[in-house]
Amino acid sequence: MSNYYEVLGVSPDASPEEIKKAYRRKAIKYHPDKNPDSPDAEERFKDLSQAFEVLSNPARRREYDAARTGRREGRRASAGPRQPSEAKSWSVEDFLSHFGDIFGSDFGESFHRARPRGRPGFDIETSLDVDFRVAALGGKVRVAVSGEASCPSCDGRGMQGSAAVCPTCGGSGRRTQRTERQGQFYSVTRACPTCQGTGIAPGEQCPACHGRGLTERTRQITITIPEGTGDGTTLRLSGQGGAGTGGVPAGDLLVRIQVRPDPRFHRKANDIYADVSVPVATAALGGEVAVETLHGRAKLKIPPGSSSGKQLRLKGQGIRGGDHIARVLVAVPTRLSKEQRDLFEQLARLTSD
Amino acid sequence: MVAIDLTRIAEEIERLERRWASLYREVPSAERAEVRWTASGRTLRWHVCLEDVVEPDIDVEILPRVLVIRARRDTHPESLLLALLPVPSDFDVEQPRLYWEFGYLEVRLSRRSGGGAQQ
Ligand SMILES: [Zn+2]
Ligand SMILES: [Zn+2]
Repeated sequence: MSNYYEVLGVSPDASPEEIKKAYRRKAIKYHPDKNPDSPDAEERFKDLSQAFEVLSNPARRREYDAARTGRREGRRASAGPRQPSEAKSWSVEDFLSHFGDIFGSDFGESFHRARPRGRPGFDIETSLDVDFRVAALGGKVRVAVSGEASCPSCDGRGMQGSAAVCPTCGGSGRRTQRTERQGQFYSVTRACPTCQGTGIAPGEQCPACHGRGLTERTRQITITIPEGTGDGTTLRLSGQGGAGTGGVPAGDLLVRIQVRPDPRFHRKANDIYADVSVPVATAALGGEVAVETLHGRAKLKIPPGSSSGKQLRLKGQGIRGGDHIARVLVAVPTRLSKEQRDLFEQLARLTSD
Repeated sequence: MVAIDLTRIAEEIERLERRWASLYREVPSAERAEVRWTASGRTLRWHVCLEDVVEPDIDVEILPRVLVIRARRDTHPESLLLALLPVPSDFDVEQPRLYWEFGYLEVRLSRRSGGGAQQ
Protein backbone atom coordinates (compact mmCIF):
# COMPACT_ATOMS: atom_id res chain seq x y z
CA MET A 1 0.00 0.00 0.00
CA SER A 2 1.30 3.39 -0.91
CA ASN A 3 1.83 6.23 1.46
CA TYR A 4 -1.18 8.52 1.28
CA TYR A 5 0.87 11.58 2.13
CA GLU A 6 3.23 10.83 -0.72
CA VAL A 7 0.32 10.21 -3.06
CA LEU A 8 -1.02 13.65 -2.29
CA GLY A 9 2.43 15.20 -2.15
CA VAL A 10 2.02 16.68 1.29
CA SER A 11 3.94 16.33 4.52
CA PRO A 12 2.52 14.12 7.30
CA ASP A 13 1.72 17.21 9.36
CA ALA A 14 -0.21 18.89 6.53
CA SER A 15 -3.28 20.82 7.62
CA PRO A 16 -6.72 19.76 6.36
CA GLU A 17 -6.64 22.82 4.11
CA GLU A 18 -3.33 21.76 2.56
CA ILE A 19 -4.69 18.28 2.01
CA LYS A 20 -7.78 19.60 0.28
CA LYS A 21 -5.74 21.87 -1.89
CA ALA A 22 -3.26 19.20 -2.86
CA TYR A 23 -6.03 16.79 -3.70
CA ARG A 24 -7.84 19.32 -5.77
CA ARG A 25 -4.75 20.13 -7.81
CA LYS A 26 -3.83 16.53 -8.43
CA ALA A 27 -7.38 15.44 -9.12
CA ILE A 28 -7.53 18.02 -11.86
CA LYS A 29 -4.29 16.80 -13.32
CA TYR A 30 -5.08 13.09 -13.25
CA HIS A 31 -8.74 13.16 -13.95
CA PRO A 32 -9.48 10.31 -16.41
CA ASP A 33 -11.48 12.60 -18.67
CA LYS A 34 -8.40 14.65 -19.15
CA ASN A 35 -6.16 11.68 -19.80
CA PRO A 36 -8.29 9.38 -21.92
CA ASP A 37 -5.34 7.43 -23.34
CA SER A 38 -3.51 6.88 -20.11
CA PRO A 39 -4.60 3.97 -17.90
CA ASP A 40 -1.90 5.12 -15.53
CA ALA A 41 -3.75 8.36 -14.90
CA GLU A 42 -6.86 6.46 -13.98
CA GLU A 43 -4.89 4.41 -11.44
CA ARG A 44 -3.35 7.52 -10.00
CA PHE A 45 -6.73 9.17 -9.81
CA LYS A 46 -8.07 6.23 -7.81
CA ASP A 47 -5.07 6.34 -5.50
CA LEU A 48 -5.60 10.03 -4.99
CA SER A 49 -9.22 9.53 -4.13
CA GLN A 50 -8.38 6.78 -1.66
CA ALA A 51 -5.74 8.91 -0.04
CA PHE A 52 -8.04 11.86 0.20
CA GLU A 53 -10.88 9.78 1.55
CA VAL A 54 -8.73 8.71 4.48
CA LEU A 55 -6.76 11.87 5.13
CA SER A 56 -9.73 14.20 4.92
CA ASN A 57 -11.55 12.32 7.65
CA PRO A 58 -9.94 13.23 11.01
CA ALA A 59 -10.80 9.92 12.68
CA ARG A 60 -9.56 7.79 9.82
CA ARG A 61 -6.50 9.94 9.43
CA ARG A 62 -5.61 9.38 13.12
CA GLU A 63 -6.10 5.67 12.66
CA TYR A 64 -3.97 5.70 9.53
CA ASP A 65 -1.22 7.74 11.21
CA ALA A 66 -1.13 5.35 14.13
CA ALA A 67 -0.80 2.38 11.83
CA ARG A 68 1.81 4.07 9.67
CA THR A 69 4.09 5.18 12.50
CA GLY A 70 3.60 1.94 14.40
CA ARG A 71 4.67 -0.31 11.56
CA ARG A 72 6.65 1.76 9.14
CA GLU A 73 4.74 0.27 6.23
CA GLY A 74 1.02 0.37 6.84
CA ARG A 75 -0.27 -3.09 5.98
CA ARG A 76 -3.22 -3.29 8.24
CA ALA A 77 -6.36 -3.41 6.27
CA SER A 78 -8.23 -1.45 8.88
CA ALA A 79 -6.04 1.54 8.27
CA GLY A 80 -6.81 1.65 4.59
CA PRO A 81 -10.01 2.75 3.03
CA ARG A 82 -13.02 0.53 3.08
CA GLN A 83 -12.86 -1.24 -0.22
CA PRO A 84 -14.99 1.03 -2.40
CA SER A 85 -17.18 -1.22 -4.46
CA GLU A 86 -17.73 1.33 -7.21
CA ALA A 87 -14.11 2.38 -7.45
CA LYS A 88 -13.66 0.83 -10.87
CA SER A 89 -15.13 3.50 -13.02
CA TRP A 90 -14.87 7.18 -12.33
CA SER A 91 -17.62 9.10 -13.89
CA VAL A 92 -18.01 12.81 -14.18
CA GLU A 93 -20.56 12.58 -11.36
CA ASP A 94 -18.02 10.96 -9.05
CA PHE A 95 -15.60 13.67 -9.81
CA LEU A 96 -18.18 16.32 -9.24
CA SER A 97 -19.31 14.81 -5.98
CA HIS A 98 -15.73 14.86 -4.75
CA PHE A 99 -15.42 18.42 -5.83
CA GLY A 100 -18.61 19.17 -4.01
CA ASP A 101 -17.06 17.70 -0.86
CA ILE A 102 -13.94 19.71 -0.93
CA PHE A 103 -15.46 22.89 -2.21
CA GLY A 104 -17.91 22.38 0.62
CA SER A 105 -19.13 25.34 2.51
CA ASP A 106 -17.22 28.19 0.99
CA PHE A 107 -17.50 27.44 -2.69
CA GLY A 108 -20.24 24.93 -3.28
CA GLU A 109 -22.76 26.68 -1.14
CA SER A 110 -22.47 29.99 -2.83
CA PHE A 111 -22.85 28.18 -6.12
CA HIS A 112 -25.77 26.04 -5.18
CA ARG A 113 -28.00 27.74 -2.72
CA ALA A 114 -31.13 26.01 -1.50
CA ARG A 115 -33.55 28.19 -3.48
CA PRO A 116 -32.50 30.14 -6.51
CA ARG A 117 -32.26 33.78 -5.64
CA GLY A 118 -34.26 36.37 -7.47
CA ARG A 119 -33.85 36.97 -11.10
CA PRO A 120 -34.54 40.21 -12.90
CA GLY A 121 -37.63 40.15 -15.08
CA PHE A 122 -37.52 39.85 -18.80
CA ASP A 123 -37.85 42.66 -21.25
CA ILE A 124 -41.06 42.68 -23.22
CA GLU A 125 -40.99 43.93 -26.76
CA THR A 126 -44.07 45.14 -28.50
CA SER A 127 -44.94 47.37 -31.42
CA LEU A 128 -47.48 50.12 -31.43
CA ASP A 129 -49.22 51.96 -34.29
CA VAL A 130 -49.48 55.66 -33.57
CA ASP A 131 -51.26 58.39 -35.52
CA PHE A 132 -49.06 60.81 -37.36
CA ARG A 133 -50.35 63.70 -35.32
CA VAL A 134 -49.86 61.99 -31.95
CA ALA A 135 -46.31 61.03 -32.88
CA ALA A 136 -45.57 64.57 -34.02
CA LEU A 137 -47.11 66.47 -31.14
CA GLY A 138 -46.86 63.85 -28.42
CA GLY A 139 -49.70 62.30 -26.50
CA LYS A 140 -50.84 59.39 -24.43
CA VAL A 141 -51.76 56.00 -25.81
CA ARG A 142 -53.24 53.12 -23.88
CA VAL A 143 -51.91 49.73 -24.76
CA ALA A 144 -52.46 46.16 -23.58
CA VAL A 145 -49.23 44.41 -22.66
CA SER A 146 -48.99 40.75 -21.85
CA GLY A 147 -46.07 39.59 -19.83
CA GLU A 148 -44.98 37.92 -16.67
CA ALA A 149 -46.39 39.14 -13.40
CA SER A 150 -46.08 37.82 -9.87
CA CYS A 151 -48.36 34.77 -9.46
CA PRO A 152 -51.41 35.68 -7.36
CA SER A 153 -52.10 32.05 -6.28
CA CYS A 154 -48.81 31.62 -4.44
CA ASP A 155 -47.82 35.24 -3.95
CA GLY A 156 -44.85 34.66 -6.20
CA ARG A 157 -43.44 31.92 -3.93
CA GLY A 158 -43.96 29.21 -6.56
CA MET A 159 -44.92 26.47 -4.08
CA GLN A 160 -47.83 25.15 -2.08
CA GLY A 161 -47.36 25.24 1.69
CA SER A 162 -43.89 24.16 2.76
CA ALA A 163 -42.84 22.31 -0.34
CA ALA A 164 -40.12 19.75 -0.81
CA VAL A 165 -37.01 20.57 -2.76
CA CYS A 166 -36.44 19.13 -6.21
CA PRO A 167 -34.72 15.76 -5.87
CA THR A 168 -32.67 16.20 -9.03
CA CYS A 169 -30.93 19.41 -8.13
CA GLY A 170 -31.41 19.42 -4.37
CA GLY A 171 -33.24 22.70 -4.59
CA SER A 172 -30.57 24.65 -6.35
CA GLY A 173 -32.62 24.84 -9.54
CA ARG A 174 -29.49 24.29 -11.55
CA ARG A 175 -27.68 21.43 -13.08
CA THR A 176 -23.97 21.59 -13.55
CA GLN A 177 -22.27 19.48 -16.13
CA ARG A 178 -18.64 19.21 -16.93
CA THR A 179 -18.04 19.87 -20.56
CA GLU A 180 -15.04 19.25 -22.62
CA ARG A 181 -14.24 21.63 -25.40
CA GLN A 182 -11.06 21.24 -27.39
CA GLY A 183 -9.43 19.25 -24.62
CA GLN A 184 -10.32 21.82 -22.00
CA PHE A 185 -12.71 21.37 -19.13
CA TYR A 186 -15.34 23.67 -17.79
CA SER A 187 -18.45 23.26 -15.83
CA VAL A 188 -21.49 24.68 -17.48
CA THR A 189 -24.58 25.33 -15.41
CA ARG A 190 -28.06 25.38 -16.82
CA ALA A 191 -31.56 25.31 -15.38
CA CYS A 192 -32.45 21.94 -13.81
CA PRO A 193 -34.59 19.97 -16.29
CA THR A 194 -36.75 18.37 -13.59
CA CYS A 195 -37.95 21.55 -11.90
CA GLN A 196 -37.20 23.98 -14.74
CA GLY A 197 -34.95 25.95 -12.46
CA THR A 198 -37.44 26.52 -9.68
CA GLY A 199 -35.74 24.21 -7.17
CA ILE A 200 -39.12 22.90 -6.03
CA ALA A 201 -40.16 19.27 -6.53
CA PRO A 202 -42.57 19.13 -9.46
CA GLY A 203 -45.49 17.77 -7.37
CA GLU A 204 -45.17 20.59 -4.85
CA GLN A 205 -45.10 23.44 -7.27
CA CYS A 206 -47.91 25.94 -7.34
CA PRO A 207 -50.24 24.55 -10.03
CA ALA A 208 -51.08 28.01 -11.32
CA CYS A 209 -47.52 29.00 -12.17
CA HIS A 210 -45.76 25.59 -12.19
CA GLY A 211 -43.36 26.75 -9.54
CA ARG A 212 -42.09 29.78 -11.33
CA GLY A 213 -43.85 32.29 -9.12
CA LEU A 214 -44.82 34.17 -12.27
CA THR A 215 -47.84 34.01 -14.48
CA GLU A 216 -48.69 35.46 -17.84
CA ARG A 217 -50.95 38.43 -17.44
CA THR A 218 -52.26 41.22 -19.64
CA ARG A 219 -52.09 44.72 -18.25
CA GLN A 220 -53.26 48.05 -19.59
CA ILE A 221 -50.49 50.56 -19.69
CA THR A 222 -50.63 54.20 -20.68
CA ILE A 223 -47.65 55.14 -22.77
CA THR A 224 -46.60 58.73 -23.15
CA ILE A 225 -45.48 59.34 -26.70
CA PRO A 226 -42.94 62.15 -26.70
CA GLU A 227 -43.34 65.04 -29.10
CA GLY A 228 -41.62 64.42 -32.41
CA THR A 229 -41.42 60.63 -32.14
CA GLY A 230 -40.22 59.24 -35.45
CA ASP A 231 -41.24 56.03 -37.17
CA GLY A 232 -39.21 53.07 -35.89
CA THR A 233 -38.32 54.72 -32.60
CA THR A 234 -38.12 52.34 -29.67
CA LEU A 235 -39.36 53.64 -26.37
CA ARG A 236 -37.97 51.95 -23.30
CA LEU A 237 -40.22 51.96 -20.27
CA SER A 238 -38.10 50.80 -17.44
CA GLY A 239 -39.66 48.43 -14.96
CA GLN A 240 -42.77 47.91 -17.11
CA GLY A 241 -41.64 44.56 -18.49
CA GLY A 242 -41.93 41.11 -16.94
CA ALA A 243 -41.90 40.84 -13.16
CA GLY A 244 -38.68 39.85 -11.43
CA THR A 245 -38.56 37.18 -8.73
CA GLY A 246 -37.28 37.43 -5.19
CA GLY A 247 -37.60 41.19 -5.02
CA VAL A 248 -35.38 41.75 -8.04
CA PRO A 249 -36.50 44.47 -10.46
CA ALA A 250 -38.86 43.86 -13.34
CA GLY A 251 -37.70 44.01 -16.93
CA ASP A 252 -38.28 46.85 -19.34
CA LEU A 253 -41.03 47.33 -21.84
CA LEU A 254 -39.70 48.11 -25.29
CA VAL A 255 -42.24 49.72 -27.53
CA ARG A 256 -41.38 50.07 -31.16
CA ILE A 257 -43.39 52.93 -32.59
CA GLN A 258 -44.84 52.63 -36.05
CA VAL A 259 -46.18 55.97 -37.22
CA ARG A 260 -49.24 55.73 -39.45
CA PRO A 261 -48.67 57.92 -42.48
CA ASP A 262 -50.99 60.87 -43.01
CA PRO A 263 -51.93 61.70 -46.61
CA ARG A 264 -51.87 65.43 -45.84
CA PHE A 265 -48.56 65.77 -44.07
CA HIS A 266 -45.02 64.78 -44.71
CA ARG A 267 -42.33 65.10 -42.10
CA LYS A 268 -38.70 66.12 -42.57
CA ALA A 269 -36.93 66.46 -39.23
CA ASN A 270 -39.03 69.01 -37.34
CA ASP A 271 -40.61 70.58 -40.39
CA ILE A 272 -43.94 69.54 -41.84
CA TYR A 273 -44.55 69.68 -45.56
CA ALA A 274 -48.07 69.95 -46.96
CA ASP A 275 -49.63 70.90 -50.26
CA VAL A 276 -51.97 73.84 -50.34
CA SER A 277 -54.43 74.41 -53.13
CA VAL A 278 -54.53 78.09 -54.17
CA PRO A 279 -57.13 79.47 -56.61
CA VAL A 280 -55.51 80.80 -59.74
CA ALA A 281 -56.59 84.38 -59.09
CA THR A 282 -55.21 84.33 -55.55
CA ALA A 283 -51.98 82.85 -56.90
CA ALA A 284 -51.72 85.66 -59.42
CA LEU A 285 -52.96 88.57 -57.34
CA GLY A 286 -51.98 87.45 -53.86
CA GLY A 287 -54.26 86.96 -50.91
CA GLU A 288 -54.91 84.57 -48.07
CA VAL A 289 -55.89 80.94 -47.87
CA ALA A 290 -56.77 78.73 -44.95
CA VAL A 291 -54.40 75.84 -44.32
CA GLU A 292 -54.54 72.81 -42.05
CA THR A 293 -51.48 72.49 -39.83
CA LEU A 294 -50.73 69.97 -37.10
CA HIS A 295 -51.81 72.57 -34.61
CA GLY A 296 -55.11 73.38 -36.35
CA ARG A 297 -56.29 75.80 -38.99
CA ALA A 298 -54.12 78.78 -39.86
CA LYS A 299 -54.13 81.59 -42.40
CA LEU A 300 -51.43 81.57 -45.02
CA LYS A 301 -50.50 84.74 -46.91
CA ILE A 302 -50.06 84.12 -50.63
CA PRO A 303 -47.77 86.69 -52.26
CA PRO A 304 -48.82 87.92 -55.72
CA GLY A 305 -47.42 85.84 -58.57
CA SER A 306 -47.10 82.54 -56.71
CA SER A 307 -46.79 79.60 -59.05
CA SER A 308 -47.11 75.88 -58.31
CA GLY A 309 -44.23 74.51 -56.32
CA LYS A 310 -43.53 77.70 -54.42
CA GLN A 311 -42.89 76.99 -50.76
CA LEU A 312 -44.35 79.22 -48.12
CA ARG A 313 -43.37 78.98 -44.51
CA LEU A 314 -45.49 79.19 -41.40
CA LYS A 315 -43.01 79.73 -38.62
CA GLY A 316 -43.26 77.53 -35.57
CA GLN A 317 -46.20 75.52 -36.86
CA GLY A 318 -44.22 72.30 -37.25
CA ILE A 319 -42.83 69.95 -34.59
CA ARG A 320 -41.01 71.32 -31.54
CA GLY A 321 -40.76 74.82 -33.01
CA GLY A 322 -40.15 73.61 -36.54
CA ASP A 323 -42.04 75.16 -39.45
CA HIS A 324 -45.03 74.24 -41.51
CA ILE A 325 -44.05 74.48 -45.14
CA ALA A 326 -46.91 74.85 -47.58
CA ARG A 327 -46.27 73.95 -51.19
CA VAL A 328 -48.47 75.95 -53.52
CA LEU A 329 -50.60 74.02 -55.99
CA VAL A 330 -52.38 76.47 -58.27
CA ALA A 331 -55.89 75.23 -58.78
CA VAL A 332 -57.12 75.88 -62.26
CA PRO A 333 -60.85 75.48 -62.59
CA THR A 334 -61.72 72.52 -64.79
CA ARG A 335 -65.02 73.99 -65.98
CA LEU A 336 -65.23 77.64 -66.94
CA SER A 337 -68.33 79.74 -67.16
CA LYS A 338 -68.86 81.88 -70.28
CA GLU A 339 -67.76 84.97 -68.40
CA GLN A 340 -64.65 83.28 -66.92
CA ARG A 341 -63.75 81.99 -70.36
CA ASP A 342 -63.90 85.50 -71.85
CA LEU A 343 -61.73 86.89 -69.08
CA PHE A 344 -59.06 84.18 -69.53
CA GLU A 345 -58.99 84.77 -73.26
CA GLN A 346 -58.56 88.48 -72.64
CA LEU A 347 -55.72 87.70 -70.20
CA ALA A 348 -54.06 85.39 -72.72
CA ARG A 349 -54.12 88.14 -75.40
CA LEU A 350 -52.63 90.66 -72.95
CA THR A 351 -49.78 88.39 -71.74
CA SER A 352 -48.75 87.24 -75.22
CA ASP A 353 -48.16 90.83 -76.43
CA MET B 1 -21.36 40.21 -44.02
CA VAL B 2 -23.59 41.56 -41.32
CA ALA B 3 -23.01 45.11 -40.25
CA ILE B 4 -22.34 45.29 -36.56
CA ASP B 5 -23.75 48.24 -34.73
CA LEU B 6 -21.21 48.52 -31.94
CA THR B 7 -22.93 51.48 -30.32
CA ARG B 8 -26.18 49.61 -30.04
CA ILE B 9 -24.45 46.52 -28.65
CA ALA B 10 -22.57 48.67 -26.16
CA GLU B 11 -25.77 50.32 -24.97
CA GLU B 12 -27.50 46.99 -24.66
CA ILE B 13 -24.62 45.49 -22.71
CA GLU B 14 -24.46 48.46 -20.39
CA ARG B 15 -28.15 48.29 -19.71
CA LEU B 16 -28.12 44.55 -19.09
CA GLU B 17 -25.16 45.00 -16.76
CA ARG B 18 -27.23 47.35 -14.63
CA ARG B 19 -30.14 44.97 -14.81
CA TRP B 20 -28.15 41.99 -13.56
CA ALA B 21 -25.96 43.90 -11.12
CA SER B 22 -27.72 42.23 -8.19
CA LEU B 23 -25.91 39.01 -9.03
CA TYR B 24 -22.70 40.61 -7.80
CA ARG B 25 -24.26 40.82 -4.37
CA GLU B 26 -24.86 37.09 -4.38
CA VAL B 27 -21.33 36.44 -3.15
CA PRO B 28 -20.29 39.61 -1.37
CA SER B 29 -16.71 38.47 -1.04
CA ALA B 30 -16.36 37.78 -4.75
CA GLU B 31 -14.05 39.90 -6.79
CA ARG B 32 -15.12 41.17 -10.17
CA ALA B 33 -13.09 39.73 -12.97
CA GLU B 34 -11.85 42.13 -15.57
CA VAL B 35 -13.96 41.77 -18.69
CA ARG B 36 -13.73 43.12 -22.21
CA TRP B 37 -15.74 42.45 -25.31
CA THR B 38 -15.29 42.75 -29.03
CA ALA B 39 -17.74 42.20 -31.83
CA SER B 40 -17.18 41.50 -35.47
CA GLY B 41 -19.06 39.74 -38.22
CA ARG B 42 -21.54 37.45 -36.54
CA THR B 43 -19.57 36.96 -33.36
CA LEU B 44 -19.50 38.61 -29.98
CA ARG B 45 -16.39 37.76 -28.01
CA TRP B 46 -15.98 38.16 -24.30
CA HIS B 47 -12.52 38.15 -22.79
CA VAL B 48 -12.52 37.41 -19.11
CA CYS B 49 -9.28 37.79 -17.19
CA LEU B 50 -9.09 34.91 -14.72
CA GLU B 51 -5.68 35.13 -13.17
CA ASP B 52 -4.56 32.33 -10.84
CA VAL B 53 -7.47 30.20 -11.87
CA VAL B 54 -7.16 26.54 -12.76
CA GLU B 55 -9.30 25.76 -15.76
CA PRO B 56 -11.64 23.16 -14.20
CA ASP B 57 -12.51 25.69 -11.50
CA ILE B 58 -14.44 27.76 -14.01
CA ASP B 59 -18.18 27.56 -13.98
CA VAL B 60 -20.25 29.11 -16.71
CA GLU B 61 -23.89 29.59 -15.81
CA ILE B 62 -26.28 30.18 -18.66
CA LEU B 63 -29.22 32.44 -17.89
CA PRO B 64 -31.68 33.95 -20.35
CA ARG B 65 -29.80 37.16 -21.11
CA VAL B 66 -26.54 36.76 -19.27
CA LEU B 67 -23.69 34.36 -18.71
CA VAL B 68 -22.35 34.27 -15.19
CA ILE B 69 -18.74 33.22 -14.86
CA ARG B 70 -17.55 32.08 -11.47
CA ALA B 71 -13.99 31.02 -11.00
CA ARG B 72 -12.09 30.03 -7.93
CA ARG B 73 -8.61 31.36 -7.54
CA ASP B 74 -5.99 28.79 -6.84
CA THR B 75 -3.71 31.05 -4.84
CA HIS B 76 -6.29 32.25 -2.36
CA PRO B 77 -8.74 29.45 -1.66
CA GLU B 78 -11.37 31.86 -0.37
CA SER B 79 -11.27 34.12 -3.37
CA LEU B 80 -13.88 33.83 -6.07
CA LEU B 81 -13.84 35.77 -9.30
CA LEU B 82 -17.20 36.70 -10.72
CA ALA B 83 -18.07 38.13 -14.09
CA LEU B 84 -21.35 38.95 -15.78
CA LEU B 85 -21.45 38.75 -19.52
CA PRO B 86 -24.68 40.35 -20.66
CA VAL B 87 -25.88 38.99 -23.96
CA PRO B 88 -27.75 41.32 -26.32
CA SER B 89 -30.99 39.82 -27.55
CA ASP B 90 -29.81 38.98 -31.04
CA PHE B 91 -26.99 36.75 -29.84
CA ASP B 92 -27.47 33.13 -28.86
CA VAL B 93 -26.72 32.75 -25.18
CA GLU B 94 -27.41 29.01 -25.19
CA GLN B 95 -24.40 27.96 -27.22
CA PRO B 96 -21.32 29.66 -25.86
CA ARG B 97 -17.99 28.46 -27.19
CA LEU B 98 -15.30 28.55 -24.57
CA TYR B 99 -11.56 28.86 -25.00
CA TRP B 100 -9.03 28.97 -22.25
CA GLU B 101 -5.53 30.30 -22.63
CA PHE B 102 -2.98 31.92 -20.33
CA GLY B 103 -5.36 33.05 -17.67
CA TYR B 104 -7.93 34.33 -20.14
CA LEU B 105 -11.28 32.80 -20.81
CA GLU B 106 -12.69 33.67 -24.17
CA VAL B 107 -16.42 33.19 -24.67
CA ARG B 108 -17.74 33.40 -28.19
CA LEU B 109 -21.37 33.88 -29.00
CA SER B 110 -22.96 33.84 -32.42
CA ARG B 111 -25.61 36.12 -33.72
CA ARG B 112 -28.89 34.31 -34.11
CA SER B 113 -29.66 33.50 -37.69
CA GLY B 114 -31.92 36.13 -39.14
CA GLY B 115 -31.06 38.52 -36.33
CA GLY B 116 -29.49 41.25 -38.40
CA ALA B 117 -28.32 44.60 -37.14
CA GLN B 118 -31.20 46.89 -36.40
CA GLN B 119 -31.76 49.75 -38.78
ZN1 LIG C 1 -47.97 30.37 -8.29
ZN1 LIG D 1 -34.42 20.71 -9.95
